[in-house]
Amino acid sequence: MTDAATVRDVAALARLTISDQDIENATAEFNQTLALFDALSTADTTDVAPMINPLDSAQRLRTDRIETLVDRAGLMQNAPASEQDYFLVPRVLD
Amino acid sequence: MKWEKVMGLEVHLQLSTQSKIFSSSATAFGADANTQTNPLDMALPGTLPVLNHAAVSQAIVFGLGVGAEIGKVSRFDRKNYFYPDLPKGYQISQFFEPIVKEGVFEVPLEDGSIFPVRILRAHLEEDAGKSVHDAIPGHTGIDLKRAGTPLLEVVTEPDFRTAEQVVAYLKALHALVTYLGISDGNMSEGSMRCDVNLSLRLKGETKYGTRTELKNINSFRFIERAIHVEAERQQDILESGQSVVQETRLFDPDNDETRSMRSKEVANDYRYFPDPDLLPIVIDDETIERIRDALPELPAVKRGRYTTELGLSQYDANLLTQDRATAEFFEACCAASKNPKATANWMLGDLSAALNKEGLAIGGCEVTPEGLGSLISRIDDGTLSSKMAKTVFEGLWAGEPDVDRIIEDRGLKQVSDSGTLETIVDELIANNPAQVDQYRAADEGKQKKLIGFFVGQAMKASKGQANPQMLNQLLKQKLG
Amino acid sequence: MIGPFETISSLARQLDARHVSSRELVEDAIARTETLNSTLNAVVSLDKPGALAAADQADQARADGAVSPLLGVPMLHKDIFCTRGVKTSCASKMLADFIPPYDATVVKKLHDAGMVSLGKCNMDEFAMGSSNETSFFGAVKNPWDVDRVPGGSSGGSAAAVAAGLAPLATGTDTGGSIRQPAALCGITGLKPTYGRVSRYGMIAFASSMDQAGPMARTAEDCALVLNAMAGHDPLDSTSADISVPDYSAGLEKSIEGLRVGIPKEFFSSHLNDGVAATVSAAVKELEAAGAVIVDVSLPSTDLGVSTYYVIAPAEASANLSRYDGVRYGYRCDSPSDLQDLYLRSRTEGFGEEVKRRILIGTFTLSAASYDQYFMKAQQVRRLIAEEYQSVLKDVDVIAGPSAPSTAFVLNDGSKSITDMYMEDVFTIGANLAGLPAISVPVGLVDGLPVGMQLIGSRFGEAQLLNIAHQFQIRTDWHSLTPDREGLTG
Repeated sequence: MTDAATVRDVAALARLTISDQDIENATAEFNQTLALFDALSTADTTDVAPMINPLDSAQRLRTDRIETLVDRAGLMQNAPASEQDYFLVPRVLD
Repeated sequence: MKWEKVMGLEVHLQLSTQSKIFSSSATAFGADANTQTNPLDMALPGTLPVLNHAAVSQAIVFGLGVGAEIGKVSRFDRKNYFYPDLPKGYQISQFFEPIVKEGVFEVPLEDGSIFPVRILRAHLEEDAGKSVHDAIPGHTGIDLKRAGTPLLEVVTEPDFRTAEQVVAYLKALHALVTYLGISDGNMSEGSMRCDVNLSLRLKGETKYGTRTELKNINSFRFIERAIHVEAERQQDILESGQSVVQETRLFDPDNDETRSMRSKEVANDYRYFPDPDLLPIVIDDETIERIRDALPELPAVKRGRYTTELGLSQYDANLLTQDRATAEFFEACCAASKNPKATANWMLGDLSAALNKEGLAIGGCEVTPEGLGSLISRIDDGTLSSKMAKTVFEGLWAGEPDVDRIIEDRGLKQVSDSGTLETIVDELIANNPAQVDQYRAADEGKQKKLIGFFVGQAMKASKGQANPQMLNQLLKQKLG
Repeated sequence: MIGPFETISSLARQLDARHVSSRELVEDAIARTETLNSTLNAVVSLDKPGALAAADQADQARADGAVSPLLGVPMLHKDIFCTRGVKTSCASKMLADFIPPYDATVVKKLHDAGMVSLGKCNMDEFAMGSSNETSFFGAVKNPWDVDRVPGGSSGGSAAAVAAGLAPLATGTDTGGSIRQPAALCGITGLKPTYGRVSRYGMIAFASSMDQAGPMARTAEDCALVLNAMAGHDPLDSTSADISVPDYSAGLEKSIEGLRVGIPKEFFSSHLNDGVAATVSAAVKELEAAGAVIVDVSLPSTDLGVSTYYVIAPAEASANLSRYDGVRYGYRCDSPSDLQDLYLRSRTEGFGEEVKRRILIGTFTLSAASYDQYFMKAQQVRRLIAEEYQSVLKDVDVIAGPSAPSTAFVLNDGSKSITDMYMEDVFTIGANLAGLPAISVPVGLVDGLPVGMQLIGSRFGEAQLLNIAHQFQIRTDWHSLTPDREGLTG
């Protein structure tokens, strides 16, 4: 089981905030779901390869050719903030 | 305390494909912000990656170029972190199973020796976009034009001990990738980016110390400086009994120091996992052999040929093979001149000097391999004296294509006709009795100096075109 | 007089015979939706002008001689499919105003087949849910009982078809999200084999399990639509390059001698007695049609839920990282710096269930947990897939209930989060193994619909549709409609 501090760390990794009022409840729910996973340890998975995708074929390779599906205006039309053809975010300090 | 620098390199090469690694957007350099993008590059909802055939081929070409094992089955993984120039919030890379495995890359050093660098792996991944700070005040502008460009990340073992080795490796890598035609390998343009992992340990120690990563250094000069500065910083820390913090640092050339990068990630847990949107890349032996057969002659092979077959020095061979353009120029020029040693001398001497003066690359000047080649032929067949040859070279540099025309137009043909020369010498002797007597009365040592007067006069009389060797011979003969 | 509960095949015949025009059908559908949607909340956006224009185009094409079983037939798209120029919200505040500049492949294919899209259906936010209660636009009501849930995540699609708003709605199924709502709403819903239908333009939840499929009144209708939806898409690396048979061609085949496996684990304690009895009766019906009923075992059935709830949220946690307020979607007010932009946009933009799953998914992928949870779950996934494969060597299809109970009450406070997850216990296996599965209505318990699920071998949709169709020509559960004022024809 995990504690509130771990849940907060995980939230930070995912860029989510959990308020002080909610943290206890969120931790309880988190642990409830984790408890569901306990059953997995009962399975014998010795020498079993993980399944990443149910298809067992190889990746198809695309011809190296230029094709534009949507123009810049269309691609940027939903931008919450843009100027001079850039997407804007608050000034980033590096 | 004697400290040893231990360094490993991670070099990102932008591959020369037409379209991006997972989308069919263009990859050309220099376009406007946020052009050359498709819904996938913008990470619009519902978009999916499809792998570019050429990125795979170019990775295989690289692997064969460093004698590495090609991963017959490789996968893509997601590297998760948040940064505005990374639109999906994860980078598609290869973490668990790279396409190129272990190899050894032979790096020629300045002194002519070979320094073998162990390549740990090379893998495919996508490039991020760019952040532009303060183009709009108080904001950072995000340009995703570059997002999705194919990269090949080449990782070495920590085999480097000096900055010179590092720079030599980067130069050789540049040469290799330009030969193979898979990348421009240009540090200043960003098609080759080098990160240096550096740690110190006491000489004789086998364990590795804590390393820092130096990122985003875009010239050979800065790399040398950054290594020096960071090694000093770490030495100071270690000698004062403290520990080096494992972190990423940037080199600040203005202040000649390295600085810690403010972390891009709250905590660096990239949560790598295999990307379920992509299937495994499966490469068969046939494909590998087909690509191997089509490889151009590699720099190492050329160097061997130049030294053993053409008789060049290792030093010259190294310089002439530093990039494909130079090597090809050399070989084409040799075909025209039939004189490899003279070709090497002219290329590494006059041509190199002229290129450096104007800041040009070999492909950017007017001199053609055929032009230079025929210049050398004309020296060899006696038409041109070395002095006149330099004038002809100037003509080639200015863009006049035909050596014989230049010689003709400027009357630079060396006068080697004994009759003409004899006439000149006889006249000289007749008109300068005092100097003749002086010469005849002098000893051997002084004669060597005094003959200069006659040579000078004869050159004047022949407008510089007298064949110097013949002239000297005649003078000696007639002066006695 | 054309009622609202006509099948696609029936409408196609009538359109062909010029008894009705596409325009008339579409006008009726729009009117019915406008009347009923305030109660049902099944539809989040209606595109009246677009639909009418498309209807006219279809009528014109028909007049010019075009013939197609789907031409001019009205339909709805789950709001998870990107529709160019039309808001696509995924039922989230995060995308409430998002207008895609491109069409999903599924949208394009059905459009090219001549179908007329009326608008977008409500759903659980980002497809995460089994009751359609997590939508930013409010819960969807089950037309059979408006105090009850329609199931999820394709709850809006199921409710729309059940209420006769349109004869077809597209859905997506990651853990049961087509089959379970189809069962709870008394309609037919098909989840194709993973890779059968393109995922391009379908907003991703769990990339290795998501699959789009038709939700309609009959298996015959599903076959018609699958013909148009299925096929290789070069824009989707996980789209199988396998030819599309004519799914309508094999419907009439006899199922004499077909082996139907009934897993004993499907009739366990999870299952409501009434549902168990109804599904068992349906199985008897199959037997009467000539099928051979075989007892089989899928011992890893219960492990499926744990496996799924490790893998799906993990994949989703990465898929949803792109929602950061930078290039599109919800952005918080006056962000003070970059981290504030991310934190507030995401915390405010996502609903609670989505955030819960992102958290658990992020956790299981993190360095300390990866081997124990994520890798382990992927290994168990392979075991489950192999188990299904092994059983399907012995039988042609697996049959059982689609959901453990009938539609439950909205805002059921007694249901914990993990209780809700257990809703998927019978459907999850097919997603983990990538197998096709269909849910058909098989009766009512206390006036609420029950669905039977059939699971087939990879790319065995034709056989599934055949069996389902044979069941539907012998029974008429699929013809039942909610007996409620305003809803009946």
